[in-house]
Amino acid sequence: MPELARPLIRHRSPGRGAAGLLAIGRWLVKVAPAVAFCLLAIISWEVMARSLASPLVPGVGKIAGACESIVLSGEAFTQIGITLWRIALGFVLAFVLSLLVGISSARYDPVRVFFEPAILLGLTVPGLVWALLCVIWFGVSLATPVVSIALGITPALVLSVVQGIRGVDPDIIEMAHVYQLPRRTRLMKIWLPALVPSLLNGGRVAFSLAWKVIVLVEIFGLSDGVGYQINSQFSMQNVEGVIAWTLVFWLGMLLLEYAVFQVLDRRLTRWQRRASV
Amino acid sequence: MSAGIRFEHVSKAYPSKAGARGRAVLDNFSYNIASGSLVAFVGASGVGKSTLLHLLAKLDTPDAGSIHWPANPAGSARLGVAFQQPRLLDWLSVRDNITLVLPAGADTQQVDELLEAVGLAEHASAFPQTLSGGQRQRVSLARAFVVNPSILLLDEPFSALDELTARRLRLLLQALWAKRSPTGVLVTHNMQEAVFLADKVVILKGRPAQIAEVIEVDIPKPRNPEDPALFAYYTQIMQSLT
Repeated sequence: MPELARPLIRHRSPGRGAAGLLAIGRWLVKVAPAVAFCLLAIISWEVMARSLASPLVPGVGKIAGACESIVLSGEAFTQIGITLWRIALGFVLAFVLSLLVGISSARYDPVRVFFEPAILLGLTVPGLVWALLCVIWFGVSLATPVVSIALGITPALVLSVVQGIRGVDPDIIEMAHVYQLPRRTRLMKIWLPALVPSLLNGGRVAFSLAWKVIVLVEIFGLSDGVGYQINSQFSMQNVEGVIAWTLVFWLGMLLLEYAVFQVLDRRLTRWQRRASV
Repeated sequence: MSAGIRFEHVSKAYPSKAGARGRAVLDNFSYNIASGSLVAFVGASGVGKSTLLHLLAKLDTPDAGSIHWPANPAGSARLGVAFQQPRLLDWLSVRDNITLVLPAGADTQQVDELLEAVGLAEHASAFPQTLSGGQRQRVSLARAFVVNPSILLLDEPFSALDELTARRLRLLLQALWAKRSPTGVLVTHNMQEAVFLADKVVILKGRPAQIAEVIEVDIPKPRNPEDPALFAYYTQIMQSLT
C-alpha cells in the first residue's frame, strides 16, 4: 500500500473505538432533551422550595439525602423487589386472561358481546375500588395484590389483544386457509406475532396501571412493599421520605422500561425496524 | 402425474344488495382441464373468473354441481397459489415464509433449491418489507411451488408489477412449470400473459358466465415472449372479446 494512501483509508473507515465514540455521541444528542427536562424540573423544585421555605416542600438536597439513605441501606432494592414480584404475578394472570378473552372476542362476535359489559365495567371502575375489595376479601395475603392488579389491568390488555387480532390482514387469513395451515401454525406464526406490537403497547399501559393499583393495595392491606413504605413515611409526616420512595420506584420503572420493554420491542419487532431503514 | 380438474354443472350466485334474489355468476358451468396443462380464463371484469378461482381454492362452495380433483397418491389435491399481492408474513424471513406452508417435519431441501431457482438464495434471511415488489412475488411463487402442487392457481399474479419485472417473472414461472408441471389455472386481464403462459385460453362472456371460445395456443414450450406467433393468438383473443 502506498504510504500516502494510509491516512486517507484510516479516515474513511474509522476503527471500532471511533465508531463507539460516534454512537455514544449520537445517543447523548438523542437523550439531551430528556436530560434538559430533568435538570429544569430539579432547578424549578429547588427555587420553589427555597421561596416557600416550608417543611412540606423539602429542598433537593434533603430529598437526595433521603434517596441515598434508602438506597445505601439496601431497603430500596428489597421493597422494590417485593412490589415488582406482586406486579409480575398479577401481570401474568392478567396476560393469560386477556389472551383468552381477547382472541375469542375478536374472532367470535357473541363472545365479544358477552364480555363487553365486563370490559366496560373494568375500564371505568377505579383501581382504588379493586384494592379495597380485595383487601376485604383476601386480607393480608399474596392473592390481594395479584387479583386486584389482574382486575385492574385485564380490561386494557383485552382491548389491546382485540385491536391486534383485528389488525391482521384478511388476505393473510385467506392465504392460511388456502394452504390449510394447521391451527397451531396459525396461532404461533400468524396470530401471536401479529399481536406483538399491540401487546407491547398495551403492556406498557397496563404496567403503569398496575403500579397505581399495587400502591393502594400495599397502603391499605399489606405490611411491606413500596406502597407500604410511602404510607409509613406519610404517617410520620416525612415528606422527603414520601418523595424519595416515589423517586426510587420511578427510577426502577425507568430501568425496567429500558432494560425489558425496549429490548423486547427491538427484538420482537426487528422486521419493522429493518424495513424502515 | 398431477391431477386434472373437472367442473360439472357448477352454479354459484351471490345475494344482491336487496338480499331477495341471488345474482347468478355461474349457471350450469362445465369444463375439463387436462392434467398437467395450464388454462387461462379471460374476460371482462365481473364475468366470474375470480369466482372460479375461489371455488377451486375452497374459499367458497358451489350452490350446485361439483368440482373434481382426481385423487393423487397423498389422497387429496395439494394446492399452490400465487395471489395478485404476495401475501407474505412481514415478521418471517423469506425462507420461513416459504417453509411455513410445508407440513411439520417435511424435507426442506426443496426450499433451498427453489430459493436458488427464483434468485433469492442471498436474501433467504431477509424480511419481506426489505424486498422489491418483484422479489416479493418471487417468494410467493417459490411458496406456491414448494408444496409440490398438483394444482396451481394464479390470480393475476403479475398485475401489480411493472411490465419489465412481470416479463421476467413470466419467464421464471415458465421455467418452474417445466420442471414440475402441475395442473394450472390462470386468471388474468393481460391477454399477452395468457397467450404466453397458457396451453388453452378460455374466453368467458355474459352473466351468468358462458364459455364464448376456447383457444388452444399451439406453440411449443418453452416460449419466447418475442415470438411473433404469440401475437396472432393475442389478436384472435382480442377480436373474440370485443
